[in-house]
Amino acid sequence: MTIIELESDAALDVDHVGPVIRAGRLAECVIDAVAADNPDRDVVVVDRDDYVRIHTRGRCRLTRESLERALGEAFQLEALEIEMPSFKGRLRTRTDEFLWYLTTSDGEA
Amino acid sequence: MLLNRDDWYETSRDLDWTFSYVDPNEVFPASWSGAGDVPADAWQDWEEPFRVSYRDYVRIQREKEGGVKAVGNALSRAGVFEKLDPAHLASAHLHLGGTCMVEQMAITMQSRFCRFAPTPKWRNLGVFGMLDETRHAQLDLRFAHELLKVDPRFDWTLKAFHTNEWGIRAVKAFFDDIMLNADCVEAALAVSLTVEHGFTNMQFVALAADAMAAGDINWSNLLSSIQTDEARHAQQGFPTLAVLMEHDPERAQQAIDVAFWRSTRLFQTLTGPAMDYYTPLEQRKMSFKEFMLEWIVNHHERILEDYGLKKPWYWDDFLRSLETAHHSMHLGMWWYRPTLFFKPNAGVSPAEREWLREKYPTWERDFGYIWDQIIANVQAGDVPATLPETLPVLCNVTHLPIGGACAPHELAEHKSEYKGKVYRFDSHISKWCFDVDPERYADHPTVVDRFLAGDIQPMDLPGALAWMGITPDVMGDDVYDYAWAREYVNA
Repeated sequence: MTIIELESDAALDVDHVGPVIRAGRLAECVIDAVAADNPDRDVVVVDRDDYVRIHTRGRCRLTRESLERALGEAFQLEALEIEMPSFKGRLRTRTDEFLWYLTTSDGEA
Repeated sequence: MLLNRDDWYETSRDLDWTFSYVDPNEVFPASWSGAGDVPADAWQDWEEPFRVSYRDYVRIQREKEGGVKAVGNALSRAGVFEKLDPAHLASAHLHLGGTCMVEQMAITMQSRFCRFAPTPKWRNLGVFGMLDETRHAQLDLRFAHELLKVDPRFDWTLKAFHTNEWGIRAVKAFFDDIMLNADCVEAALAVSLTVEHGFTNMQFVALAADAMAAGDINWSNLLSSIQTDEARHAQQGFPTLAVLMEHDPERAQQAIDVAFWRSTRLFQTLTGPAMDYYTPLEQRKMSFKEFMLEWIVNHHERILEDYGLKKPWYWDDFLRSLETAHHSMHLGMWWYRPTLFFKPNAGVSPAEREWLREKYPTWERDFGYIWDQIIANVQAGDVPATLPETLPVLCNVTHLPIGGACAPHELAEHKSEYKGKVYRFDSHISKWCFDVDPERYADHPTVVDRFLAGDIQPMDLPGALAWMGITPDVMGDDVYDYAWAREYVNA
């Protein structure tokens, strides 16, 4: 597992899924949390200054536990929405976990 | 011990009961629900991807609202608006005039979901969607109202949809159709899925990034905050699509193929010129084509495929249109600038032209010679030669000008006859949209149809401008007073 920051004009993999977060501290913490929650996958980060794509291939988990650890404080995942103008993939939201995924990707686990 | 939301969520949203003395088909008429031939119990599989409870909703929206207001207050004290590039302002004028009342229309659409959607889970989410759209319309109005004192064009935030301005009529034609006159299922496919999950990202996330770079922090922040609501409530579309793919996939495919093309044409008009011509050169993040590839091709279309939808049958022509169609539209809009309520930037100074050539390898061949003639006319002091004398033919589906929808030199006529009348289209794709459902578009005359029928008097450009509500204080003109054309004299 590696965090890979893509050049802004690099082609994106169509099977990448995950959140798009407005630039700022929360985005940085989501990158760390996604890296912790998806140990078998590379985390691809595309920083467009105003918004940041944080994606993994086929399936992307984000848990409250990892995000709270990265932030150093309590955080309810529902509040992610405040800084999340978009996300890529199907989504399943639960109190302790958000999951973005595709059902037809070879990266699906 | 407190239950967490996962424990009580399903109970809280399944607020349905069995009707004992009323026919369910009268409570939820198919003409509003759009349930069609889908069996009633199929909707039990409808599962929202993005869960929302009222308590969380209020808390989160309150925090969003506080953030938008804090940024707005700080920037208005700093006088940031006065320092913005005038070319960029056209993007904000066009956005607010073109979308504020669409947000208002969306309240009606979401309230229809609240009342008529074929499952209580969806009706529950419609409540939040309705509150979201109320927020968006009110945010736009508040933002614009504060700027009225420095710029009368912001009055068009409220006013535009009460005029007959041609571009606004095109926006209205689309959203009247898919928001106000569509049943719940069709609105979910056309609006929630196609517009909100797909195309609004172009304007509210990608263009917001351009606006942020241009220093318009307040507007950029407003846009992306609005899109955080859209991203959530757009998810109403996916479980609806899943049910349709199981029981009526042809209907889903057709509704989405029509909405995708109509959205493409509209955003080529709204977002294309804003990104590639109105955003100051140094602040452009990427080209319109690059953003379309990121947001529509890579981000949006892949998820539809995951549900088993095919790409629209005209996919190759859609990709081709990304190279040129918005450039054609921009040229037309700049040429017809007196018909706009904002000042467009020509955006073809020598430096801007170099950027266009780099981003679009065929730009110079396709459009350079036309702009060269305009430049020659300006340099000769003949600005009247760069202004329109007549009106363009408009498409009977998109209500946008005919010419160059797929490629600038493909100008073959596309027309259909229906009930003794001839209808004209900007492309074979718009013709297909008409032919599969002609009643939807017939007898909705375009501005030019009205002109030719004698509804607009006197029958000349000033008569048309008066009919469109264009007044001297907002009438469009070249934003830099042709300074870019004079740069070529010294080159």
